[in-house]
Amino acid sequence: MAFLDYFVNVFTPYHLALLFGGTLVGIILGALPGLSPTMSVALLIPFTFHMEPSSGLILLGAMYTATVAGGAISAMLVNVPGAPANIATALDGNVMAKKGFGAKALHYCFISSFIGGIIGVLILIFFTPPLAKLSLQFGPSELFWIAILGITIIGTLDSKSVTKGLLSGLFGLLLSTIGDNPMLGEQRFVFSEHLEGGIHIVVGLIGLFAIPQVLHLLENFYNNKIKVLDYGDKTSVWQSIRYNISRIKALSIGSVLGVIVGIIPGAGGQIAGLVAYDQTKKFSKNKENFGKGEPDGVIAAESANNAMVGPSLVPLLTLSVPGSPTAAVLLGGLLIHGIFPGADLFISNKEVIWIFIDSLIIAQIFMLVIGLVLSRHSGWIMKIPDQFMAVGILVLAVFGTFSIQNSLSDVLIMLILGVIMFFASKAGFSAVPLVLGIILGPIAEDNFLQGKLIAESDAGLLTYFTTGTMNIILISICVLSIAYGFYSGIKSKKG
Amino acid sequence: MNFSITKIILSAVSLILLVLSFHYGDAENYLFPRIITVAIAIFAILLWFEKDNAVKINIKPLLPGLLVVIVYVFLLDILGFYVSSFLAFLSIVFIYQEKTSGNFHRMVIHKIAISLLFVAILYLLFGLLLQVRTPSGIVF
Repeated sequence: MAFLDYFVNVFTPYHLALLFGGTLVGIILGALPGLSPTMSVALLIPFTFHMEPSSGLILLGAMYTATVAGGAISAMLVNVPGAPANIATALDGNVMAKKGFGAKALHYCFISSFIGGIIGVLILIFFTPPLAKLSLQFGPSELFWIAILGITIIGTLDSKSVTKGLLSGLFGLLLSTIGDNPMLGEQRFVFSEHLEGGIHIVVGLIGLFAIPQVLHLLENFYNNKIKVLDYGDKTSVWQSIRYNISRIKALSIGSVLGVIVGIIPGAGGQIAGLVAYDQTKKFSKNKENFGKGEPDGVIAAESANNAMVGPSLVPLLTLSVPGSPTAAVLLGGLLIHGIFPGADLFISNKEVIWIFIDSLIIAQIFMLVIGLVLSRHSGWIMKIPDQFMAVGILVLAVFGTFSIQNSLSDVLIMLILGVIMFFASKAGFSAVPLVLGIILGPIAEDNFLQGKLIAESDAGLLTYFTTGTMNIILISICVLSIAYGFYSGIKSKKG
Repeated sequence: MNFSITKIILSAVSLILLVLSFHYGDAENYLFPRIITVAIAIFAILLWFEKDNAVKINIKPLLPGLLVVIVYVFLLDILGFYVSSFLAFLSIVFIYQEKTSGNFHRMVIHKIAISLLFVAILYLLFGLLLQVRTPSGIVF
């Protein structure tokens, strides 16, 4: 099997060092209440520029895995999820910590994350090559709708207001058109020389995720009073492992739902965690205990958000459509190394991709071990002063952005986008649909234009894009998710 | 910030975008943007039907920070990355302080030291280890 061939390459001293470093930094960054995994990975991308593609990807993959798990630490001990993916974890995890079971809770986090993560990566290994082959059968119209689907799903599920979410996505699409028209080469919306090259994906990523966070930290500087709970009892790790493995229902529901949510374009850790939590509660014998410190809640949520990681790369690697917001960031990482997802990824860049995927398995092990050790000593992480974090992120953002194309224009664009995004988020707009819009915009437009060409000589534009089984399925999912979004919006207002 | 302001701003923006893409661009070049701006306009109108929810921004604590950010970017080209970052770090750490008692001089030296340490780590990690280029101005 292909994936076995490249396993050896993961075990070089350099790569192992990267795995260790990436996991360590990832858990710490994930644990910091002020940083999200999406942002941390985004900030790191420019710095991998000078590495070999496989090494850079190994580092990013390790960080992605670790931050999603590390966020559990602050979710438990501070009741501030380190990442949106840990929102569901905090529901019971924090209560457990308050009751003195912090150690147990953290054990369950990492053990469940490990199990979920391994399952997720296995899905990635076995599903990606066949899906890549399947994607060869997708024409421009299918690819167009898949791109639209990615934006629609995240716009309708992630935001509190469907309209705002879709507006974000649309603005992202619009931003992606700045610069040269892909087919005609003519310029669009280039008002100043700074905009000539368009908005680079990573510039957008860093600006839209990191800068609002900086401003947010400064804005709330005087009101943040964080109380860090104690690690708690001295449960042995082995005891926790035995208990955790025995919770098959929670683990299965968590992992399975995590995988499904991961594969769905756009839907990420937050949705995975919450859905798994809800469903586990529904099927649990002790429903009433959920919210009062029920370990199954933690187990389900954490296995789900790590099971999501691997599969979120499946649509990314085969169709260029990210399966989650952080996968979207990884796309930036791939592109910056000149690796273009799609059917021939496994032909032209076989070695890099398989080394990367294989490293994810090892990353789960690192995450488990380092996580278990670190969570015991993690109190200090959450006591790092906000202003240090704020300026640290700012400087890294500037640093990283500049190093992409050695351009100060990029830094300027990044900051302007960030400041606007900050104010927009105050008005209820989310950055994620915007980012997906910027990333998927070129894919949507390219396929739209190609489809238009084909349609003109064939059946006509509307027919071309709306007929065919796959097209109909995709369009229906889009419409359904918009409808569902509006429906739950109306429901929550009445209730 | 009132929600109505958002609605107004968004409607104004969508109008401007419509004009930009329909009036100033040619049909073929701006085809995709035109479709998008129409969609934006539709949703901007839909937004008017959403309930109002006022949002608060703590402008006061934020302003000094914003100022530092703006000045920082300006200085990048002039003073170079490491010097500007050092100054940015120092300013933020001075402006945003917890109220602690103690020796004033010691605190000042403490802050300068941390800022220097921060920039030193940056240099080691990125300048030497990862070999990343930085905006170099007149200084460093």
